[in-house]
Amino acid sequence: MPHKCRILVVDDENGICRFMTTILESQGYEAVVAHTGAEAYAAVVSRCPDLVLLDLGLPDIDGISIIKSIREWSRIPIVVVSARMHEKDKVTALDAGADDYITKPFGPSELSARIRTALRHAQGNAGDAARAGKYQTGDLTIDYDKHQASISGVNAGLTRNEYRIMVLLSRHAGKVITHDYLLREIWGPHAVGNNQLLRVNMANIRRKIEKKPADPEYIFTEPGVGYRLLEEDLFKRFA
Amino acid sequence: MRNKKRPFRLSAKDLLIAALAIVVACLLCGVLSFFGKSDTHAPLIFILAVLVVSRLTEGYFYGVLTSFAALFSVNFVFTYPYFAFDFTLSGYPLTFCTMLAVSLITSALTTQIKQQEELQIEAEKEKLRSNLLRAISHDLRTPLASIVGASAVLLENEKEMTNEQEHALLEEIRDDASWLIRMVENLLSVTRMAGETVISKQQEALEELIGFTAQKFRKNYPAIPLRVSIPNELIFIHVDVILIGQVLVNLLENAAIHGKSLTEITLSVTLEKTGGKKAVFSIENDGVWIDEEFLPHLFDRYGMWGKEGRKSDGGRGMRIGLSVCAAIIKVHGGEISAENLSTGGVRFRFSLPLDEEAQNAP
Repeated sequence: MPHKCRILVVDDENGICRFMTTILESQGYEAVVAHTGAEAYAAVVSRCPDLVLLDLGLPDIDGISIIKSIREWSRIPIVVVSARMHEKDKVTALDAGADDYITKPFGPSELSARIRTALRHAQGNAGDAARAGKYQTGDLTIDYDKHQASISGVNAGLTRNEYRIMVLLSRHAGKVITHDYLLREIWGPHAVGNNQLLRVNMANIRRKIEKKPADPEYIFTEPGVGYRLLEEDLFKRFA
Repeated sequence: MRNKKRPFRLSAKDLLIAALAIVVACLLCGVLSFFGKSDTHAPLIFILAVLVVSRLTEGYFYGVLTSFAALFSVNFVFTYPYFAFDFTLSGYPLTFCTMLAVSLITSALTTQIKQQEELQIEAEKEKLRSNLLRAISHDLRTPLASIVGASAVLLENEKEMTNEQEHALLEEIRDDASWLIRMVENLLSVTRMAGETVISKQQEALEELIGFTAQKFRKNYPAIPLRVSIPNELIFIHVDVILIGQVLVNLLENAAIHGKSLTEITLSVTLEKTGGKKAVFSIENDGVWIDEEFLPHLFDRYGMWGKEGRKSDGGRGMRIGLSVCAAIIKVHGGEISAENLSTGGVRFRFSLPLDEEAQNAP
């Protein structure tokens, strides 16, 4: 990488900011801090960060409206930092245009994994999977040319919609995809809110892909929010 | 408290009660007038009607309304001249005033008693809340003291300490802080259930609920083997997924922390059909037993909160966690229990009712 990635940390708590900047700097990122929504907005414009880590509970401006106003003119990745209980806020933030979220409390490894994923997707490297024609992790392969998902080389036998769900998840692998987004993309706007339809399809996919549906290796449930597919195993693809 | 400051609020139900009371009183007087010439019972019956209305309706308004209605009914129908208003009878103004006064005072007194009852209920809730707050503050103080102590030692004796000593203190700080976070999450669960809002239950897939709980547990306790077993078919349960997730996490952590010398934890779900279809969750460890004396009181918030002397530091947090579990299971219409296994170890079980219709619908 020619330059250090610059990351904007937006949080009104000094302690959290310090802890996050320490992690970021030790990982080789450049950290910029903003304590209020106004500062954050100014910093996005003037400092041109590569990624924003945004706490939703800011003193001056509601986090959701910050996301919306940034999204009016910029595709910069935004990762929301949120408390566990607020799953509705997470969904609203993702719908407003946030790329992903991380739940407090988190450790250094979790934070840098989320940042890596978001940066990778933003820099278009995640498009590699599409260009390479396949997504691969562990024993799971999704072949976009053959329209087929396979486990250890054996066709998993997904139906058309099940395959489309997997394609959607794999194109955003590592990031969370909300229930409503999946429903809208696969079945159309009238299906939004039909959680059972999605759950039944996900259950079928799990039975075809996971060894133990209740103890998954690939597709993870984010309670009240959506699903996250395990990130691609890049070493394997290029090996 | 609702409408405490508003003596009058238009409500179809209250109006109906008032009207009904007057009608019943009129009928009663009508029936009674067949049996005797005396009309002294009429005012008494109408006073009773005022009392009933004040008791059953909100605020003063309907009581007062009934008083006036009663007064005119008595004058119009049940006192001589019948079916005519006559306020000129000798002594009638006095009767009129007395009856109005009595009705108004009755109405006011009843309303006041009602308000006092509400205040009393509120006071009891307040007492419960402050008890809970005291118990929690007490529980939170211990880890906080340990964090403050450990970090002070680290800052003040920086130069004299070995790396291992530093590491041990840092670990202690992290563990205590994580414990605090878990407790605060439990308290947030309580606030999620309290208040006027109904908990947001949805049809959730059992395997997803179990899947993310297991994943979370493994992340926090990578050293403890967890075995998961649930029925193979897709099962929907109608729950607040965050709250039931909290119950499972609490019980798993409880099994991990308090089950000394354990080698494995099992999380399983089975379906039961006796007495309505339900899912039975069980969390088992193969560690040491819980003291038989404690078993019946594990989920009993009041019993546990009260006995300050009994708790050891090992039990701290267990009480908050388990009473929160019990509260969550209760609002879901289920049951929770704990038992020592004859093969060694402890089993926590809770059941959640399954909705038959939801099972069949896609």
